[in-house]
Amino acid sequence: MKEEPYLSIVATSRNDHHGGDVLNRMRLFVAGLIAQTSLHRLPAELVLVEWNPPEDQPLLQHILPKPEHGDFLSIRYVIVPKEIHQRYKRSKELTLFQMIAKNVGIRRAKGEFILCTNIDILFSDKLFKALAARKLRSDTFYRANRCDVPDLIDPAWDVSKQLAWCDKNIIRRLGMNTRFKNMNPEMAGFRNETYRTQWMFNKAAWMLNLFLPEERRKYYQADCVASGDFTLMAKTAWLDIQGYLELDLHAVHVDTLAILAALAIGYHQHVFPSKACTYHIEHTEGWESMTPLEKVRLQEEKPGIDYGLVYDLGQHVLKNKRTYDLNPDNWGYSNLLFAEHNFP
Amino acid sequence: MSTPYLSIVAASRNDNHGGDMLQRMRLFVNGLIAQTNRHQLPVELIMVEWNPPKDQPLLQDILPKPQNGDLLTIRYVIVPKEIHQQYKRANEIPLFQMIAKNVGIRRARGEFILCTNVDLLFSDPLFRELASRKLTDDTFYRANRCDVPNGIDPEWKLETQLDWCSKNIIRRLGMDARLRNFNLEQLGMSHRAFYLRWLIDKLALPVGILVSPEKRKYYRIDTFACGDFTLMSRQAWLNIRGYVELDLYSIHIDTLGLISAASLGYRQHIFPRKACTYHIDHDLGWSAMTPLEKIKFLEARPGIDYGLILEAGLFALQRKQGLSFNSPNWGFVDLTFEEHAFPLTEG
Repeated sequence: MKEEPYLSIVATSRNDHHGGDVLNRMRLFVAGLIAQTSLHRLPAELVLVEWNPPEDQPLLQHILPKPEHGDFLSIRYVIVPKEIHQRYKRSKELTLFQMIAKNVGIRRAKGEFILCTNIDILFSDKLFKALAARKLRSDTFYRANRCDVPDLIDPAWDVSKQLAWCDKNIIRRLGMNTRFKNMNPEMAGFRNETYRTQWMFNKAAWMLNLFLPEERRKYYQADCVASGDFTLMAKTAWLDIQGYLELDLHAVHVDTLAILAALAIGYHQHVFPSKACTYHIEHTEGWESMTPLEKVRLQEEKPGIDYGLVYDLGQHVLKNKRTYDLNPDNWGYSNLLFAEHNFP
Repeated sequence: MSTPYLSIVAASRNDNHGGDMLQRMRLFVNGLIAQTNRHQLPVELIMVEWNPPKDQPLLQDILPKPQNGDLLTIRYVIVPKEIHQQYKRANEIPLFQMIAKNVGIRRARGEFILCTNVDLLFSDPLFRELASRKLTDDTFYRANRCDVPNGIDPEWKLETQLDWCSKNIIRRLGMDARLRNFNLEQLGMSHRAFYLRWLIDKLALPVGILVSPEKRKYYRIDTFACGDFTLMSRQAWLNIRGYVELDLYSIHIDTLGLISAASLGYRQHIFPRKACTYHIDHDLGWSAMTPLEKIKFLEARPGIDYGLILEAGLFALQRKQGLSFNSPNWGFVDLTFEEHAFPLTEG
């Protein structure tokens, strides 16, 4: 592929079997991208940031599928060494600072648009078609629903069969229903309610919105749940929001703060239709598959931030129409050169 | 010493946390000594001194002491550094506030136990409610918290202090007892005009019918600033197994205590607006921080937050069985800690 990529896909991982059979899920993810970029003739690069690689395991580049010459996908592995990881106070509790790693990818991405996602995701063909149409706008950030599916996809199936299987085996759907625009029920704690209740809630929200200040209305209309799995915007937009907030904490909910920052400085939200979704392969350590009590224990083990603070921060930036301004200028270690390996 | 009707449990250490802490603690203790006498209410204050700094005097040596004949007794329970250091985050968090309060709860002798903080005064209507001895053991009680500036002169008489507080309220936290269908603080709308809050409260009624019972219950609990005033019978505290004990900063764990009580069927009673607490504002208070300060604070001292509270809360409310996190010896009931009681008993 000679052309500069239209789209950079940024993800991060390490070869440590986190969440169970992570290698299998990563192989599905990479093989899916190779197939779909070719199918839809979309020049894309995957920037896979390998954070703090375990010394006793092979690097991901040695075990994941590789694109061939002529494919539309190129893969760049960026290696962030242990020495960087150990700068963080919680480096012993957390092995991968996911959002800081994604920032490393964002700063190095070459695409006009950057999609930040995770390594256990497949993209529906409808979603890929929307990306390949090259009609993305630089004043907009894009979200897609996430549909969780069981970890039973056979890697021997071709991608179209995998996607058809996913479509028929959805466990749960996360993300905004574009029919309910007055208030995102997920943001107001009404996620699992019936359609009728959500419809009613949406109507009540219309009236409520007449009294709410703009920042609160915007907050409750944002499509934030599972946004770490699909947040897409122009590279210039990522630079405007200064990437993800870099915190010495577990990465959970930091993805939401990026959405709120983009909204705060005037980017429009576009949620793709429900068929244009991602399929997330369920795993045991996944946040969504835990009981609340397990989540409290996880928080005790690997502390992070949560919605109370996300709300406060969101209100702050939405009201002031600015970003958090907490990251250093060299966020994503833009001042450092990391080892990089490109394929093909 | 007769059994007190009420035990008041608080936790602290002499490290000047929040700035000028000693002054606020003195106001708190003096206020209790005066009000228990005025309202003829026998009360014990259990002050759990967690991980006392070695280079500072103990609180018992610097705080006001009740005299013989006063209706307040104070018991200082000292939790030593060795216990504190069992926790992974002992170096980041000098005081595990809710675990310390559990130490107090397990040792309390009162029929009812109020868990509170050391920078509060109680309004006279609130103390009157307590002194009426009409608390019931199937109920948990909440009072609004009114924040006031740190400008109370300790030389003033208590009446003057309380009068000054009532005229200098910066903000009020807690539900309006007249609007029970939805906790408007959850929507950040507690400071809007009464007619608007009334309207939303009425709107919440039909919406509430459509949502699950646990969700309806959750959004009616008076959670904000509940660490400053949660009162229930001793038996109720034992039934909920006290506060959830986590190796984290204590913020929001107080909310889980209320949710546990609600999930076990305890009813909520919110005292009227005048029956409030006055909280002396300070720089490091959560409510006084900007969101950007909060994130830096939590990065240094991690805790749990509302997303998780909501999930755990719905989980407990649906199952009607509390939050069974704590070990049977929660509050270190199996250990004997050093304890000093005032007034000193003769002999």
